[in-house]
Amino acid sequence: MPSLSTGIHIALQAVLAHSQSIEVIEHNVANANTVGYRRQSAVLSAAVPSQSYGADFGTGAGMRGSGVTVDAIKRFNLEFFDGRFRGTNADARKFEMERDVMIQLEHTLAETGDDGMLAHLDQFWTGWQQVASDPTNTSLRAGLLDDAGALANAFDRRAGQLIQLRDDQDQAIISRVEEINDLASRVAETNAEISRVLSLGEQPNDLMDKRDLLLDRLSETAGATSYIQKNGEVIVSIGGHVLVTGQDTLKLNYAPNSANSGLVAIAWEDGLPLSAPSGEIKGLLEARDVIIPKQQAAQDQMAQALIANLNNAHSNGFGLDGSTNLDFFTGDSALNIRVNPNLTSQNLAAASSTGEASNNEVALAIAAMKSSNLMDGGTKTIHQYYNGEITRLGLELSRAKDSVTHLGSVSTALGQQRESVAGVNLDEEAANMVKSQKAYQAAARIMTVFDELLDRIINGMGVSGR
Amino acid sequence: MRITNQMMINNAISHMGDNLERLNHLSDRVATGKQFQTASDDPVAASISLSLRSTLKTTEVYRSTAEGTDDWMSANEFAFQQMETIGIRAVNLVQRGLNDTLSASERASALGAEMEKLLQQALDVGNMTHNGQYVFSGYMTDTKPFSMPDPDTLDFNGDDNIMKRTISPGQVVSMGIDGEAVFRPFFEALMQARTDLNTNDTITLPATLTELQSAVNIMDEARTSNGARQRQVQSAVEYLDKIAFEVKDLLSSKEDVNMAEAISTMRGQETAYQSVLEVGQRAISALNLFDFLG
Repeated sequence: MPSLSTGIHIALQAVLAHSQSIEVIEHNVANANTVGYRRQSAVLSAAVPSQSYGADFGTGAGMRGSGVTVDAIKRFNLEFFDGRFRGTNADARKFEMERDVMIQLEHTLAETGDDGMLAHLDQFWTGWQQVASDPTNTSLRAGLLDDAGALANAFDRRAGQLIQLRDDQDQAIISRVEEINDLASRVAETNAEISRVLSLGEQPNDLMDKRDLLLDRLSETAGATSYIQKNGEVIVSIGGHVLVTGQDTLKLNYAPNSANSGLVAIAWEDGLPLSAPSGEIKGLLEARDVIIPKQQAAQDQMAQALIANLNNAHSNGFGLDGSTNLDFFTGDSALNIRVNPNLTSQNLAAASSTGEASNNEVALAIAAMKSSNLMDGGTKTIHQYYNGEITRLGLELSRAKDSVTHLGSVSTALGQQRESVAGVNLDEEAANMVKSQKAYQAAARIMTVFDELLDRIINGMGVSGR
Repeated sequence: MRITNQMMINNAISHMGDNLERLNHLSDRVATGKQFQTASDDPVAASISLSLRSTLKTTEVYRSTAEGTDDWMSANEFAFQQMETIGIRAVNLVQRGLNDTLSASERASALGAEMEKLLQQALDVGNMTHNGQYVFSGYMTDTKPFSMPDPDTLDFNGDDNIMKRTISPGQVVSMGIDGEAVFRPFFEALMQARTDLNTNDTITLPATLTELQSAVNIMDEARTSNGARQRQVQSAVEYLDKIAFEVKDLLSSKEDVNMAEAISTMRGQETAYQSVLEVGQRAISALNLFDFLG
C-alpha cells in the first residue's frame, strides 16, 4: 500500500539525481577546453524496487518502483585508442627530433649557397690551376694561399658548429631524462591516489585524466608503454625496463661518458643501459650519436685526404726561391686543418725542380687532384664524395620530413578518434541539460502534488460539519 | 563520427597552419627565385646543380688558361715573324756579297756592318719577354736565354723544357719553344755570314748562304707548328665558351624558378589560405545549442 511520504521520498530522489546529472554536465562544459579531459556522464538507474505489502501483497501487482538513483559517474575512455595513439605519437616525435637536427645540419653546411664547401673546394682547385697557367705570377700565388685559407676556415667553422650541435643535443637529452624522472614520480603519486579512491568504491575520473596526460607525455618523450592493473595502478616501462610499478619508481641517471667526447650516457638506477624504442629521447640520441657524427666523419675524411695528398705533392716541389720539403696544410682533421703559416707566395711550390721559374709540373699535378679519386679507397673524387654526402643528408631529411607528416597525420587521426569518444560536445551537453532540467522540474511538481495531498489529509480531513 | 567543439577548433587551426606553411614555401621560391633553398627540398636536383656549378667553375678556369696560352703563342708568332724578316734581309745581304763586283771594303763596311745589326736585332727578338718573362728560355723564364760574351760565341742560358698548359680535361698543349734548337742555327749562320763578309771570305760564303737558308727553314717549321697548335687552343676557347653557356643554361633550368608559374601558384595558394581563414573563422566562432535555449 502506498504511503504519501514514500511518494515525497521518490520525488526527492529524482530531484537529487537530476541535479547531480546537471552538475556533471556543468563539469563537462567547464572542462570543454581542458587538455586530456574525458567527458563524464551520470548513469541513472531505477532504484531497487520494494516488496509490495499489505493489501497489494500476493495480488500479482508486482514489486513497487522506488524511484531513480545515480549508479555511477561514467568516464568515456577507450584504452585501445590510448595505446595506439601513444605508439604512433612516440614514433612521430622521434622523427621530429631527427628532422629538426637535420634541418640545422643543412643550414650549418649551407651547401647550396655560395658559402658551400664545394664552392670553396672549387675555388681552391681553380687557384692551383691558375698558378699552373702562370707559375711566376706572385699575385696568383697569393690568391691561391687566400683561397686555401678560406677552405681551411670553412672546414674549421663547420667542424666547430657540428660539435656545438652535438652539445645542444646532449643538453636536450639531459633535460628529457630529468623530465622522465619527474613524470615517473608524478605517475607513482597519482597511482597511489587512484588505488586509494578505488578501494573506497569510488571512481577517480579526474585523477585518471591527469594520469593519462602524464602517460601521453611519457610515451612522447621515451616511447613508454603502460599496463593498467586490477587495482587501478599502472605499470610503466621503457624498452622492456620498468619505470613505474605501483607507487614505486626506478629512475634514470646520466653521467658524462669519456668514451663519447664527454657526452652523457644514460642508465637505469640498477645500472642497465637505457634502450628507448622511440620517442623524443630516441630521436635525440640518434641525432647525437649517429646523424651528426656521420657528417663529422665525412668532413674529417675530406680534410685528411686533402692534407695527405697536398702535403705529399707539395713537399716534393720547389718554390720560386728554391725552397722545398714544405707541407701545404698542417693539422689532421677538419677542426684543425690550417694552411702552413710559413708558406708565402715565394716558397709556394709549383715547380718539380729548382731554378725553373715557369716549371708548373707540381701545380698541374695538384690541380689534377680535383678529378682524381682520392676518397673511399680510390673510388670517388672529393667532389663526388661530398656531393654524395650532401645528397644523402638531403634524402634522409626529406624522408624524415615525410615520416613526420605521415605519422603526424596518423596520430592526429587516432587522437581525433579518441577525442570523438571522449571529448565534450556542447550541443550534446545543452540537450542533456534540457532533458535533466525538465525531469527535475517534473519531479519537483510531483512533490508539490504530494504536498497538496498531505495538506488535504492534515488540514482538510476531519473538519466536515464544522 | 561524433564531432566535438575542440575537434572543430583544432582542425581549423591545423588547416590554417598547413596552408600558411605552403604559402611560406611558395613565397620563398618567388622571393629567392630558386627552385630549392636546401638540398632536402629536392635532393636529386640539388646534387645535379652542385656538380654543374663545379663544372662551370672548372670550365671558366680552363678558359682563362686557354686564353693565357693563346697570348703566349701569339708572342711566339710575333717573334717568328720578326725573325723571318731578319732572315730574308740576311739572305739578301749574303746574295749581294756573292756579287764579284764588290770590293772587300764595300763587303765589310756596308754588308758586314748591316749583318752585325741584323744579328743584334735577332738576338733581341730571341730575348723577347712576355708579361716580364723570357719567352724562349724553357722553364727558366726569369733568365735571359741568349748572350754573346764575345763576337764569335753564343751562349744559351735557358733549358730545353717545353712549357705545357692543360686547356681542358686531358688536353695538354705545348706552348713553349725549344729556343736553343730553333734559334741557335740561325744565330750561328748570321755570325758566320758577318765574319765572312767582314773578312771578305767569298769562298765559304756560298756554304754560309745554304746554312742560313736551312736555319730559316728550321724556324719556319717551328712557326708552322706553333700556328697549328695555336689554332687548336683557339678552337678550345670557343668550345669552352659553348660549354660554359650550355652549363649555365642547364643550371638555370635546374635551379631557377619559372616566375610566371611560381607567382600564379603562390596567388592560388593565397586564395586558398583566405578561404581557409574564412572557414576557420566560422568553425571557431560556431554557435552551439546553448545560444538558442531560452
